[in-house]
Amino acid sequence: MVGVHGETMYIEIRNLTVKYKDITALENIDLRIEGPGLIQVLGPNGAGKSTLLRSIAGLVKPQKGCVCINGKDTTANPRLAGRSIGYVAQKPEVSKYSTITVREFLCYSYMIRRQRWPRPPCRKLLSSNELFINEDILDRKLTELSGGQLMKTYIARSLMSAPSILLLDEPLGPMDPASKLEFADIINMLSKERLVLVTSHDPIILLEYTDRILLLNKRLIALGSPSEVLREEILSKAYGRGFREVEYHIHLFDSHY
Amino acid sequence: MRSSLSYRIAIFITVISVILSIAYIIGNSYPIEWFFTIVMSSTAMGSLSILIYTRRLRYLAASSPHAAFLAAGLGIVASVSIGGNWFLWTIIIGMVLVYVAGYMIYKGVDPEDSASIFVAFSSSMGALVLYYVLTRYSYGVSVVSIVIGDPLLSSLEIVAYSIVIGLLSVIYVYSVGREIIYIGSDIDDARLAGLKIWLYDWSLYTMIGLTTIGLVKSVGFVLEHVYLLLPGAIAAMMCRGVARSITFSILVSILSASIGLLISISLDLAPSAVSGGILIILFVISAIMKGR
Repeated sequence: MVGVHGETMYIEIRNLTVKYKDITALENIDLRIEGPGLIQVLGPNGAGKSTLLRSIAGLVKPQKGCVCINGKDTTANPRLAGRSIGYVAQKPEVSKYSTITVREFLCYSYMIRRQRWPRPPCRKLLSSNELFINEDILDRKLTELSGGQLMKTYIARSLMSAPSILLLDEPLGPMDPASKLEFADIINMLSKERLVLVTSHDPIILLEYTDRILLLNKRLIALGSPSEVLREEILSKAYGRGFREVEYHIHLFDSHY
Repeated sequence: MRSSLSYRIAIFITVISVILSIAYIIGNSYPIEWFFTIVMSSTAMGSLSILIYTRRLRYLAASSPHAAFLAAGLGIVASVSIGGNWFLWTIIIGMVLVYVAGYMIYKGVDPEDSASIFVAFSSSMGALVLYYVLTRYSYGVSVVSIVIGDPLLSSLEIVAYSIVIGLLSVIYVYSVGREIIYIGSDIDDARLAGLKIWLYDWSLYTMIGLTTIGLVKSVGFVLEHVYLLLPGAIAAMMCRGVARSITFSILVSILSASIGLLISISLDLAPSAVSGGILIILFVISAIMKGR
């Protein structure tokens, strides 16, 4: 429950129900997750994975229930949640006319959280290895980055507020196969000191680093270790017949993803 | 490197064009207010332009001149039938219309849909109101300037307004532009950081409204679209970095306004139209340079 820097990191969700008009996205979710560690959030399309992450970040107002981060009620309160949480949305989109550079994007994220003067310099943070951003892309516009570089930049941005909890919504989606493997290592490194929740359609890439899997299909189906959750009788509750169990499975990271 | 060079060239050419334009006006004993009206009007719109693109408010920006068109017509009717100042009526009515359009977008109505409805409504109502004004009142010159703009006929009130709104827009953009651009780049993180999105959006709607509505008579509602949209598009193509692109957008606006004024006085052409034409030429040159 306590990270290496001494911060507490736990998420407690009670009776959470979220609806978009008449469509139920999440229903009566009750769970408690503690960190540090890596939690993969799995479920079929429309299972409510993204909604769960957005609810934890306080970006969604639930119909009922509450979300507590490190003991504080942060339900629909992004400002309060943002003190502990870094969040990266699925497929971040940038206006094609945006002129903001990677350096500015990271620095602004840092500075808008520190309104008091004098603001500590951002330059030191940018040279930090933990941001895993190559120097040569710092002065590029966000619009000039590849999908993978853009996702890395957004994840680096989420670290600028030094969060104890990271919520990453399908971070591996826009990446090429080589970047996926590199990025799996980065997520593993980040989860050593933080509670990291990652939504995914493919659990294999991060499986060796995963502490627990949270299986959803609007309701909480299971929360446990990979060996407890990745079983036919459990997966069928979320996916129905939408999965195959293969012995001696080899996952290929082909370049035509 | 190339971005830095084009930035320096833009500064140099803008300074030269401003000096030439002022020298020509003073040398030929034309009123210097002409220069301030057109350059400050252009500066106001050019400074907001880059924020409009980054915050994805092109549809609102495209709707706003139509709101100004309708408000200017209703302002004439209100000032004649109820009394009071036309300019003040226009601002009040126009701001209500812009806030309605902005509120629709803020509440999640698709910007394309809201702009379509809004433009259709304000254009047809505006034409109706101006026809009414033309056939019943002796406001022919005012109606023409609302449509095509004439900074050379501006009253002292509008000259003063242009200077104030031009300066206010520049101060606004340099003071809160960074936050607005960040919101446009990552609205979720802006919420997590505690930024009051509604307040920044409301302030931007207000600035767009005050600029387009207050300057409709000097720029004309047709060319307001060009003044509001092209400088940001040019800066986005030519620059890297927020501060640099804001400055570039303002420089492009000042350059087109001052050269446009010089040419229009020399050749007896409509100043807003010539400045708009220069912006289009600059846009095409930028697009060719960037291979778009």
